[in-house]
Amino acid sequence: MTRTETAPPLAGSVNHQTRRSIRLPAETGAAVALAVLVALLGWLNPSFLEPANLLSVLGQAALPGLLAIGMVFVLSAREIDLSAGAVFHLSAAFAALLMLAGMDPWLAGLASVAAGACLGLINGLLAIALRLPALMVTLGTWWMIQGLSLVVGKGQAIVPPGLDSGFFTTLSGKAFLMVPATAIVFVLLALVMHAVLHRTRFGYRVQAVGSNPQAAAYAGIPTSKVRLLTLVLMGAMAGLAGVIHVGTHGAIAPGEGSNFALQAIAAAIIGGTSLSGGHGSVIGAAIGMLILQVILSAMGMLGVDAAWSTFAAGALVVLALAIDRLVKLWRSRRVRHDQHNPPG
Amino acid sequence: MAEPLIRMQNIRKSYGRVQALEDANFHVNEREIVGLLGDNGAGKSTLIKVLSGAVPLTSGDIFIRGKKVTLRSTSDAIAQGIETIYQDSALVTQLSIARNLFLGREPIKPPRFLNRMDQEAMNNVARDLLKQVGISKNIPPTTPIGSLSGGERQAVAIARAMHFDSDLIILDEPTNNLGVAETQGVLSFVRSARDSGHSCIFIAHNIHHVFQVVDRIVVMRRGKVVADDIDPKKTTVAEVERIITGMSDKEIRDAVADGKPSH
Repeated sequence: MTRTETAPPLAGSVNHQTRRSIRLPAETGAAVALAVLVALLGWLNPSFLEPANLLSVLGQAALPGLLAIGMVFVLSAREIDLSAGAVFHLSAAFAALLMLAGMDPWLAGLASVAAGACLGLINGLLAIALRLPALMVTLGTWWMIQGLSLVVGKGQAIVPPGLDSGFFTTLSGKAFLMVPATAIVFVLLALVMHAVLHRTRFGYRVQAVGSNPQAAAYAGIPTSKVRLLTLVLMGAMAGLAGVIHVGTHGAIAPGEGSNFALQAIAAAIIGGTSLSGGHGSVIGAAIGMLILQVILSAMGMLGVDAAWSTFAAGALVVLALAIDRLVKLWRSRRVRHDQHNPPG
Repeated sequence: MAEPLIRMQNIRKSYGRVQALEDANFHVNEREIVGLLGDNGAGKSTLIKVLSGAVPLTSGDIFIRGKKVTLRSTSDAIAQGIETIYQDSALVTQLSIARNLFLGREPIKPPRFLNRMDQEAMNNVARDLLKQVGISKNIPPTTPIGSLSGGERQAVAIARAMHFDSDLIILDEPTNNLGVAETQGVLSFVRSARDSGHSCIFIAHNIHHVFQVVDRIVVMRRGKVVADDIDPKKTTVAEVERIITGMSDKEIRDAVADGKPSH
């Protein structure tokens, strides 16, 4: 029910006119970059374009990609989770240990996803209780969780029993003889979570809190709860990736997943998620992760020393930050230009 | 005498040893625009934050239409019909006009467990409201709020409060950084809010803007309400400025009672 009545035209109002321009999806830039990169590598080495190779790259992108999906929500809420890679590792170790203790692998997997979510919950509760950004809290918990992984794994790979059971054969299996199951999980989750971010109240509130936390709070949005939920989601996604890793690799070795958090952040930013919050794209992050994996895979294919891959990943993070900054400057300049020079 | 819409009684708020509000008494009647004035640090922002649920009071009572209420959060205040529009924090610039209008009160499509927003309903309402506030004919509700001018943003924020039938709209510096024409637009919009049944608290540093729109002026100084029944038609800007900057209580009483400057 409204009591609003028609008001006279607002004096000083800018005369807006509908622009006859086609608005391309925000992910277009990243998709074009990926296509150009793949085409270039295919030109350099045609075997790169073989479906088996491309699907293998998709499979490699799947696990860090799951972390990137969670990271999009965290970044959109103007937070960051540095501990995601460590959560991935500890969840994987936890799943393997539960299986070693005799638990059904599917149940162990479920428990480990929940464990990942709990670690995210701890990150969130610490950030809220200490009134600190998640960046600072997760800097600490990253080391703590990594330490715990070393304690439970005793510095060695954990190999669960019964590698011929349905859990392992399903997760390491391939649909149509060539599409890795992990890739299917990754693509499906990317599509679902993209819809969650852009179509649901939760996703909308995440972006509102990231864009202007004070306005969101004044509008009655429970900002702490929203921040907490993004970190829980991040933990759950890292936990899921850890469980799938155990299912596909049949083990979790020390150091695995240690660079996943940075890769996830880089992928999210390459895909158009703003490091300063308020806007994110899950599909963009998935494309960003594919770009990252294509580059890493190409380095191997072109015979570049594997040691350079870490450097390349770091350089991509810096590049992504530079792009994020430039896009932000360009957008603010465009808004100022529009306000001073209204069309028509 | 009719019970006012809002009555704040003996409100005290302290931040550690600092006493921000000291037995402040304040009221707003139905369909009334109250101008809340005071120098920096006078306590008007704290009073508004208490009333909008943003900060808890240390002691005192708040009544809405005679019924005592407890405002623990901004959600509580919104549920009680109190909407606050802060100059820089009213809207989320990266989100669309439609989404800003429903900020914190997003409609959900069935089935509810999927938590999907009813974007179509939001766009339809936004389209109607844009026409009502007279922003422009062609602007689509999906336009980011950041591309609107300052005055238009204020108008959208006020329209939001009116659409959700808020009894009291608190406007914190709504004319700050606005041009002359835009200020007049916002002021006329505040008047139309009152005419359609809403009460407003208007806070502004520019006393001339306050004089143009309010029915009554309340002045705060050092955490206390020092004058609460100044009729803008019966006094002058210079007189109110003197009250804000500090006169003796007798001088204030004389000035308000006489309805003209004391000297």
